[in-house]
Amino acid sequence: MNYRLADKDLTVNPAGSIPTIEFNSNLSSTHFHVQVQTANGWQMVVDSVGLGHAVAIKGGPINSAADFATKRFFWDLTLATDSETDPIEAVLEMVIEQDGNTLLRVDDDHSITGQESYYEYVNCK
Amino acid sequence: MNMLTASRRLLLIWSLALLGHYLVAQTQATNTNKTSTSDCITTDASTCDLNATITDISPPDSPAFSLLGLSPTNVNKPNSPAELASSVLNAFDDNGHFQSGTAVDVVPFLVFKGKSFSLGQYTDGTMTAAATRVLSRSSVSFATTKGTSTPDTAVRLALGFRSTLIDSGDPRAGFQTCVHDINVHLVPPPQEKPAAQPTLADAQNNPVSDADFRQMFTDCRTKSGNKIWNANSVVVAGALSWISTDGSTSSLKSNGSAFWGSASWNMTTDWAQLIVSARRQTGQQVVPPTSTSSGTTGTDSYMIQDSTVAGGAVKFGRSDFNGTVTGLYIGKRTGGRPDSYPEFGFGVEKKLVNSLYLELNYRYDVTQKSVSGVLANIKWSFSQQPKLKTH
Repeated sequence: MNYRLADKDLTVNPAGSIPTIEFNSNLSSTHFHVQVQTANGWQMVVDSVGLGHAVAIKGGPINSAADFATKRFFWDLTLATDSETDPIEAVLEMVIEQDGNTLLRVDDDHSITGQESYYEYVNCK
Repeated sequence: MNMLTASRRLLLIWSLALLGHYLVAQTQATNTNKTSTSDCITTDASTCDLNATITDISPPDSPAFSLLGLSPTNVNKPNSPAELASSVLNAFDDNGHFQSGTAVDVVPFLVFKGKSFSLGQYTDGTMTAAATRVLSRSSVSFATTKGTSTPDTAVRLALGFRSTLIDSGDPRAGFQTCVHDINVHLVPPPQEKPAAQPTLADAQNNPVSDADFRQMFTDCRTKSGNKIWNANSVVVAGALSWISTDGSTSSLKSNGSAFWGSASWNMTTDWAQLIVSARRQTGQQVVPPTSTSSGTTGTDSYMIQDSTVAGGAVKFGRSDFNGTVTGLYIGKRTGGRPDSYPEFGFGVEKKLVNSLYLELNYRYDVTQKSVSGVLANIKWSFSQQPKLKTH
């Protein structure tokens, strides 16, 4: 099952360092991914694993903070519980930071059963 | 591991077992001239604890229930603070008296910190993650029971804890590690179909069906649920009990305690395990060895016994056919009279069909005061659970 979070806007300082993305949850997670929309379709920027670790949003056509402007990003991650039948309250937090400043924080808290894939579109100004 | 090495280790284990048997026989031979005063064999073989095994002295899942000798069928396992409060309140009636038949088993960390982000980083190598693992495997149990016949109508309570300090076969960690390896991403719909649902693809951008994706998690649950029988682990547990003759909180007094400790070491990757366990129990009410009373006519029929059982075992084999070599030390003080003796045993377990295991054990006990010295006991039983499971 997919769970779409509301689209968000993001403003990145083009002169700053590359922004980072970090996920936190009380459940187990798969790899998380960040993709960017290009003229040739969606391209992978980040393919990483591990909660609680900030990862630079860098890869593909994104090499510096200046590359973020006007881009449309998409991230996804799947949370899973060790029970296939019992609903568990899943807490998810996503934080995008640049130079120690929080640019975007997304929180979600709802019950899931088995596993659920979260995704969200982020539009850079 | 090659067969030669495996055979040598098997031979070594059996050699040690035979050596133990020989040494015991020598001990018995040197003690045959001693006068028997009071020991478990000459007075009442049923008190020899010949049924004691390394598994029996392993920390129980719910120490409070174990200390009271209960196997409750309805155990409250609250998953939220509200459920926990409700369970505790149910232990008292309107007059503040204890209700009998209460059984609560709870993991406080999961109840109060179930939404902690540290659970999502359960397998990390940090101190926080290590503390989270221990706290997630630490439970508290509480139980009450009431005497069923006059004059024993007292209410007994027990409060226990159990903590798995180390567990290389932790199912939660196994599941999280497995899920970490799943690398399937969502593919956003093309620009011309913005309302369409994302599809699934693997790291090479090959499409993945919903069914295959679900199956990956099902496989992780199955794999993590298949406990490694010879995993490394360290478990400690303890329980205290109280008795209230009239069921009120004001007349509570101490009624014994028990403490358990167990450490298991995976000697090889898949076929052997060394276990060391100990149990100390105090204030246990037992029927005197020479008594013919059933012990149900009054508290005078009982004696107070303190006991310490400690030992080690080597388990080896496969999950469907395995053997155990066990050595135990049993020390008792029953009614103020001390007694102690070692006990040794061999056992095998064979899986007959699914969920049916044949267990065959040979045990013998040697006491320093025994004339005959050796008492053999062969026990066989059928069980629906394999012995080679993690504790």
